[in-house]
Amino acid sequence: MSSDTLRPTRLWQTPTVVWAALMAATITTTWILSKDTFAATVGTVCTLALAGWKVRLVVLDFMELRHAPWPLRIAFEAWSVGVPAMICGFYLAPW
Amino acid sequence: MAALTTDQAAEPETRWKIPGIEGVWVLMAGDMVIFALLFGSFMSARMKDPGTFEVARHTLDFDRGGINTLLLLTSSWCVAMSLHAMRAERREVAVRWLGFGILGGFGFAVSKVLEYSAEISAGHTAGSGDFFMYYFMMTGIHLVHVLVGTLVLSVFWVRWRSGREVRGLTGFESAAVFWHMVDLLWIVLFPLLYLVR
Repeated sequence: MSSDTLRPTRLWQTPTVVWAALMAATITTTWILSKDTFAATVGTVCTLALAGWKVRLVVLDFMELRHAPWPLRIAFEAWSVGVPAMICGFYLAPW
Repeated sequence: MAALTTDQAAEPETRWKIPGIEGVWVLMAGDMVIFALLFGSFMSARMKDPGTFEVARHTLDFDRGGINTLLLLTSSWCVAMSLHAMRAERREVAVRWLGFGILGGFGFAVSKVLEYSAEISAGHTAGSGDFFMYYFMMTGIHLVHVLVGTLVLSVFWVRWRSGREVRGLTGFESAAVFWHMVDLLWIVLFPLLYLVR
């Protein structure tokens, strides 16, 4: 197995670009969306959606699952969608 | 550095590749399921008493939480860069990146201890209601992961720095994916405790 298989093939999949995107998303959620200028529901749901996107970036480009067998990739990608969705579900639940 | 590829050369060339040892992925999957259950349990408790949880949340230091997140993300990036450098047979560069990654782990741990100390000084302990019980439990378990990850990465750093021959990168890949999982868990833990309002 050549390690070429794990080499990023596109610029936006390189660690530095992924890191910059993760930093920008963190700054947005921590110091912008958390402010009272955004309604609590809007801020919280957007923050959780961005958290899911950040997890997906880490899974695919830092943990290098972009080229993993699909069952493993699906399982970890499902976590990145399912966990924030579950938290949103509890948060938005009317009861 | 030719030895780096000896364990890889024996495997047939295929389209797919899993970094690290398969067992590490099983361990991580288990960890991630446990954390997902804890997150759900926290939200379930929050639903029963959102007012109290909101008051307790406001006692946390959001800026510190955000800075800790940036620190852990940067550490993860450094470890990813270190792995890429090792694959490119640039050992000295890899050692430098890994050193920065380890510093990020230490920085996070020190910051967390200072945060705990500030909370405890303010009279908030694991016994101060559900919010703080979950806060100390979840961040405490996460901190143990940070310490284990930092220790394991430090072992690789010492070995690489000593100039000892490196036989394959499977071990380091395993340590790196574990470190990224520590980062990934914090990515959800931070907004859950500090930002859900």
